[in-house]
Amino acid sequence: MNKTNPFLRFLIKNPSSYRILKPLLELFNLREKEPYRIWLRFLIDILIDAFGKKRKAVIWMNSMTPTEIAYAFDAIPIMPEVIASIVSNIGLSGRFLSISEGKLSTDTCSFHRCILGLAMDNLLPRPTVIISSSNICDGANKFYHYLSSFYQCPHLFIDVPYDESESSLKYLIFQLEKIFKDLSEILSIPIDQNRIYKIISNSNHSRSLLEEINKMRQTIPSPFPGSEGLSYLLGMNFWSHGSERAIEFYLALKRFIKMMTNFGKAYKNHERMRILWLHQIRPYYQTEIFKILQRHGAMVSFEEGNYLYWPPLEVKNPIGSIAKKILSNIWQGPLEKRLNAISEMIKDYSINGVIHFSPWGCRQGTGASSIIGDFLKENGIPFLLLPGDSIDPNNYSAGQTRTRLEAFLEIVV
Amino acid sequence: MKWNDFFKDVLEKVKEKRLIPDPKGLIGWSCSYIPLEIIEALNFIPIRVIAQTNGEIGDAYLDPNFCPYIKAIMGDMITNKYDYISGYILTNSCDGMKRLFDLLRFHQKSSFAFLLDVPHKVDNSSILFFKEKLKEMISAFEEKFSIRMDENDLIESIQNANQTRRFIRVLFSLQGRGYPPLRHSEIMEIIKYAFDTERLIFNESIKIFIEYLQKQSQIPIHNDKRILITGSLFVTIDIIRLIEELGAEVAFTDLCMGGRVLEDVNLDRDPLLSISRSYLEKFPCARMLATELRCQRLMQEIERNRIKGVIYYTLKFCDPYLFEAPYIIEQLRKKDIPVLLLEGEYSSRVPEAMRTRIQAFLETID
Repeated sequence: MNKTNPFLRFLIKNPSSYRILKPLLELFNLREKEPYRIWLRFLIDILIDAFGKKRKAVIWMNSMTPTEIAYAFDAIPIMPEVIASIVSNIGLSGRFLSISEGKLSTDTCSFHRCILGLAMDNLLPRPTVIISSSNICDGANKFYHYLSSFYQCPHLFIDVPYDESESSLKYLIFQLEKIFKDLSEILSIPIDQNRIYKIISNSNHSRSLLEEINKMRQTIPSPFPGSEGLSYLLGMNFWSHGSERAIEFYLALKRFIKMMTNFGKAYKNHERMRILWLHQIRPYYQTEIFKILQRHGAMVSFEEGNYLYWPPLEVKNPIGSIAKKILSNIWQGPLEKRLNAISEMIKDYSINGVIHFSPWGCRQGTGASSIIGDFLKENGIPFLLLPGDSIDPNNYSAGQTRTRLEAFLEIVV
Repeated sequence: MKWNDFFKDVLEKVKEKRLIPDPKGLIGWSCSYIPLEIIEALNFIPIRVIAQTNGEIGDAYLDPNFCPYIKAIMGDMITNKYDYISGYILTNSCDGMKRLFDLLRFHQKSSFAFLLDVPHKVDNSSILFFKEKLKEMISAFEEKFSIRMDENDLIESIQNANQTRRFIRVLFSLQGRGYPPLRHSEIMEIIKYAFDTERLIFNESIKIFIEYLQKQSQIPIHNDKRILITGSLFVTIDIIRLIEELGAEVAFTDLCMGGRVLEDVNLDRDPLLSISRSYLEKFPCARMLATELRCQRLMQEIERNRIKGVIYYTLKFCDPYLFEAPYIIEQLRKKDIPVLLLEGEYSSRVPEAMRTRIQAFLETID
């Protein structure tokens, strides 16, 4: 596969392109929901800063690594996995998957294969440093380490213990303290306690807004679509906690959902079934999945990717509380954590059926699906395991998906 | 005569005459980062879980894109092939193992199950952390089986295990000795016995075997096609035999049932800390975040063993090895070392396509 034309690459990596694009996107999306427009602004501003000449430090992070760490140093967090989902959404992932094909097996995660393709095509903002955590998959550990050698930049790794015992917390806190010191040295930026307190406060504010939003989404009929929950809401959840833009976003989303619930409006009329979507992601290229669901009156009322699993951070104990946030991740550790959360979501969102998306190349999320299926069966909840892929359309079968969904929906009714 | 058959005879004779106190039971284990010394100090016999190839049964519990070894274990456990063990220890070696642990617990496949949390990196804090996790593992045993571990037993256990490792290192150094020459595939067959035989019996047997072998002459082998195999769990020795049949010599195997079990525990005042440090600092598996160190160690073995080609073998869907492959292969190619990447199933059979690829690869090596 040919790499990107140099002029096009120049445009993609030029901050001026995004400065021009920003008002055009605003105009084009005038009729869209306000939170969506804030998300676009957030993305564009990040890219302007990340590609800018006098840019702040750019810190690449994997999805479950707390962005508060980057914001604490006034750095720009870049989430390559979220970028890969956007590239897939605009129909270009195939190109970059081809570029990385000789390097990584097609049985590995397509997010990482796409990111590698983008990196090999020199289209991403160069990282100053990479911070990744072993939450929640093996692939990310090795992949981000490989990227650090690709970009010749330091890789700071957070080794997340399996359980939440005292010894695990102690080990994690030690690592985070070291990461803060190392970052300070690498970036030549002193650790600013006032800035950290501010970031923690921001994070707690956006967290509490997310809590309210999640509560409002329990309303029947569903006021907000799971398809959008799995896209920009999840994107902001991974990327923005600690920033002021996050507060702006969640306030806007809260206003929108409040307006919907106040007027008893559903995001789609004729809601007959309420579905819970499991696995943190969905196919990001164009598919019929959500259209098929909506045609049958099935609304994805909630998605586990946005489940609020962490307690508020503590201003007086920022590193300790970030450690607790990391450890409380429901997809990390024994499966009981995830099962309890699923149980709660089923009850809170009045769920009639559960779809577990099963991306090819993802072991961490799909390995538990048979236990989850058995658990749901015992509780009388219809369950569908839906194979596919988030980024690679070659691993998606439209016909098979339609058949499975329709068969499943017949049982749910 | 096949040397591994000869060893098996020696082992049987030693078993007949040696009296070993009854162990408390057998404990299944899955990963070379599990310190067997601890299990033995608690008077259990550790048995490596080398599942039979029941991948089809495992398919009912795990997605098709899952590690075939893990599916095979699931198949064996669910069909009660390991009913004779008193319990098992797994590690968080990979996402698949963590999910296997969940599955086995949910299907109640033993009254004792423990997941040992092995850090991904090696520094003072992780060594101390791993020591804490080893203490938790010991406490779990003590509580479940109403026993207490004695530190002297642990020290003795470490010394016995170190002796096994010394014998295995000597065995590898005797490759080529005797008539017919002792081959690498035979050494690997012999090492397999270490994983399901009571240690003192194995140590005595291998000592007798080595003493016999050392009296045999060394026939000089002028084989320039010296191969190193690196990779994930590697059940089938058939691949090594195939390489030998095709006229090459396997000089080093970086596998969790081969070259990665050779390093002693350096015992100091704190035996548990010694175990923690030594296990974490050994030749790393790809699940550790130690890519550069792994590569460095591989390069050292390549030089030491005059390696002419490398086979990078990974089980299908093994993320740690699949994601590490690009870096390792790049570094090998920079040094003009031919490398062949193979992805395989958990099977005792070498597929024809793989045989062809190995053959073609060996033909390119001078």
